[in-house]
Amino acid sequence: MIDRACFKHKGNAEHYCDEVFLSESPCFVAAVFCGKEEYINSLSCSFVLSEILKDSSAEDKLEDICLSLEEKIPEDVEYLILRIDQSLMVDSFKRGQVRAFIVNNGEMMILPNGIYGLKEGDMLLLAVRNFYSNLTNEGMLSDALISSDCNEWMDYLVRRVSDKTELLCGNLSAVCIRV
Amino acid sequence: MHDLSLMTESARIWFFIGLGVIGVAYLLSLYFVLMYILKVGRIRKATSKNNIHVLYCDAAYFKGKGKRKNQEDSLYISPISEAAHNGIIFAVSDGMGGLSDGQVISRYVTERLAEEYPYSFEDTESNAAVIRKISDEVYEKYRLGGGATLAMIHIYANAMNFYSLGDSNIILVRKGTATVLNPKQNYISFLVKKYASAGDNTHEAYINKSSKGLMDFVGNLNSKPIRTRSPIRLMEDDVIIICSDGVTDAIPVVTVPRYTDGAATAIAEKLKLRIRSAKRKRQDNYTAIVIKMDSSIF
Repeated sequence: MIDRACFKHKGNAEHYCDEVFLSESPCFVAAVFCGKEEYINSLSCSFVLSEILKDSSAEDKLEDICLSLEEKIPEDVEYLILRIDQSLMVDSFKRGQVRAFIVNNGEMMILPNGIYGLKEGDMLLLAVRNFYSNLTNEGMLSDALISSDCNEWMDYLVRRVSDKTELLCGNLSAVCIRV
Repeated sequence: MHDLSLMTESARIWFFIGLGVIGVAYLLSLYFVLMYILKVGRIRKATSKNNIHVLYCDAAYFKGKGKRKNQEDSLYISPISEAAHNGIIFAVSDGMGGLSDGQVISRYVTERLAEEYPYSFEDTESNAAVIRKISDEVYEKYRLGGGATLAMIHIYANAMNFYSLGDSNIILVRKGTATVLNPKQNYISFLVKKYASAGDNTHEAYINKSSKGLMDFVGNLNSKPIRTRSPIRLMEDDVIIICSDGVTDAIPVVTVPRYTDGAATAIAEKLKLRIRSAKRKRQDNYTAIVIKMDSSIF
């Protein structure tokens, strides 16, 4: 059972060009895509990402999925894909400044690229730069530790981003996950 | 070489006695060298076993009335003698301005916290229940006519749990960055959630006149204290400041790291000096406990 919460906000941009993709079957997949206003096709990029992830199966290697994705989207588009299997192994792939953080044993760190073993109770935050650059590691950590679920954690995080920016800072996209 | 057959009887005896003495001396020296090596080995082993950086709390506090008539803040520090077994509690309670008996209530809160000591480090839910009980007791007496905030931390074995009701602050300064760990339980949180979920910016949430009004505090019935579900790991040189809003009104949180060099006493002195030198016309009561996590080899 994986608890999750998602936040999508256009900020002060004209459009919401980011995309967040979540799927639970056959294994848990979360992807955050950082779109850019200057790309006319950024909305279609996020669509491409969603379609590729929908069509992928649990047996497909994440690396292969990302390779097929790379062929279809511009070079400097940023994204992060994360997949958690039944044995709580997380496989992640990122391009650019989209990041995943993990709360583990009272500490917060950046989730390394590649395969990483999770344990029950671990919490993850996937976010675009606009979101996490307005947070400190200690703020993200303490919000995670006081929250009873992911929705509550996300509310606390959004409050922190709001205190700093009033949500006037471009597209904001984030996903909280609790294993 | 001496030919033993040519030696006299007495010389022969002395020769063998000398040989025996040398042999015994050799064996004794061998024994002592061996013992020395073993002993040094034991000492080294014992030292490396205990050579873990155990963090200890260097703490100091300060308080002042500001421009107010009364001191409505109150603080509590649990007995140092109990720290090894039960950890150590630091708490600040701020009597709510505008409501009656702020001074009495904040003192009541810290005295009740002292009565309830010790607290389990692991069972934060039970500790939150204790705070809720104290809040209910205040409610029974004042029926929302008076209240206080509470910020409390529990440090044990390089880890920290915290509890909070209202808008007092628990600030962690780590690697030159200050972060308020506990969310403020005011109306802004409600408004931010409302505007954000509608896709709007949250500017209105901050200009709303009643936005800083507290939605939860000590003195509210069935309050919901914020508590850590699992502890935050502390690091060497972390500085934790538990303070009333009189401190953060005078010193913006982002500037706090400028004052956090040196020992806890020095940090407390600098912060207090900064508040006084600001000479704010409406300076509220200010109270802070400063804790610096330092290393020590036992």
